[in-house]
Amino acid sequence: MTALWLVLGGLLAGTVGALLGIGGGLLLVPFLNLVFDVPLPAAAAVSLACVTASSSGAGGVYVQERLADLRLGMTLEMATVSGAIGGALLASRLPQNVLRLVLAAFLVYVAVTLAFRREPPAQEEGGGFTVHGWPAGLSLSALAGVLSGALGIGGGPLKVPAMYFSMGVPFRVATATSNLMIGVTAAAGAFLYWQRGQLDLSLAAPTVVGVYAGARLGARILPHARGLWLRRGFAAALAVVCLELVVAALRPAGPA
Amino acid sequence: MSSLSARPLSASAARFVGRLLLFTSLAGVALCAVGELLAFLRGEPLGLAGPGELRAIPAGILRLDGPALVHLGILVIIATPVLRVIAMIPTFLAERQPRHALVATVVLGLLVAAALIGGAP
Repeated sequence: MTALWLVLGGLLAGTVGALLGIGGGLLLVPFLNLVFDVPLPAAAAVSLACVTASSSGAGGVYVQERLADLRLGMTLEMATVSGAIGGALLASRLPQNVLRLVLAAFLVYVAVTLAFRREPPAQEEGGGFTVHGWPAGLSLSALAGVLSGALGIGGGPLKVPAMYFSMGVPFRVATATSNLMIGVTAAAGAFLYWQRGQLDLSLAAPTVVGVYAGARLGARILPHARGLWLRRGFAAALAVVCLELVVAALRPAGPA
Repeated sequence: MSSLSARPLSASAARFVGRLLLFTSLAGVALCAVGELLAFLRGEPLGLAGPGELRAIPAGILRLDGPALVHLGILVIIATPVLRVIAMIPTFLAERQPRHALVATVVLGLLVAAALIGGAP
């Protein structure tokens, strides 16, 4: 019975994740933690394995449909992965709760801007576009990596706005490319949990199946989704991330 | 840094990378689904997976053992994005984009470094 609920929860998280380029981890971790009482490290381990599967499932479709940009993705991945390694190494020395609150405030600003911005039709529709603003895009991706390494959040919530706002990438292309990128970081994270023997197969197996099916479904929907609604959905997802960050920052000291 | 619209990857390269991602991840998920079903039908417990259980996989697969199939499936899923990065190196070279092949090589190196750092006690 539990397995069935995990498949269904995964299905929803996978669909949303594939549409917004955030992999569904921000829904899966609280789902596993609050609904099934899975402790946070174990929930994170399962979530990372699921995000990896969803990234490949949706990313594969986006690459074939030329919606995800492999060159842009690979270049930003270089910045994100370096940042994530640095962030993980520095985690204990950084004021994590201050970072969480600052990031939450920043994400509120991003969410409001995304939900209400009027934009040039060309960028909305994702026709021909030229990527510019590499220095800003690369620095923001590195910062996204540092924060995800230090705070254990996914990089998607920062990378999608970075591509959209500072690099001129259409929103749809940004979420599709982010989908592809998060697989690499999630795989590295899942591998670490596996190395420590902390990956629970009884939770991972059904959730992965659901998330993967959801991701393939979301990938079919994305080409038809309107840019404005995608941005609003993304803004809603950012609100969830903000909530999780604030709760984590205000929680009494303990294992993050 | 070159602009995107100037020289995108060829259709055949995109198809190759897309198929690699889809087939590999689907294989991993299918192993998980079949393993989960077999484990459920036979009442085999699925537990924690780690390097310690690695040696049990080959024999377990031969016996169509549920937990071993799930474990292999999860490992295939984790390996898929790394395979993509590896595959991008010759793909970018074939597309005459050596700078991006170098970028992919750096990403691969960073991933190996991350695994080594994480594995350290």
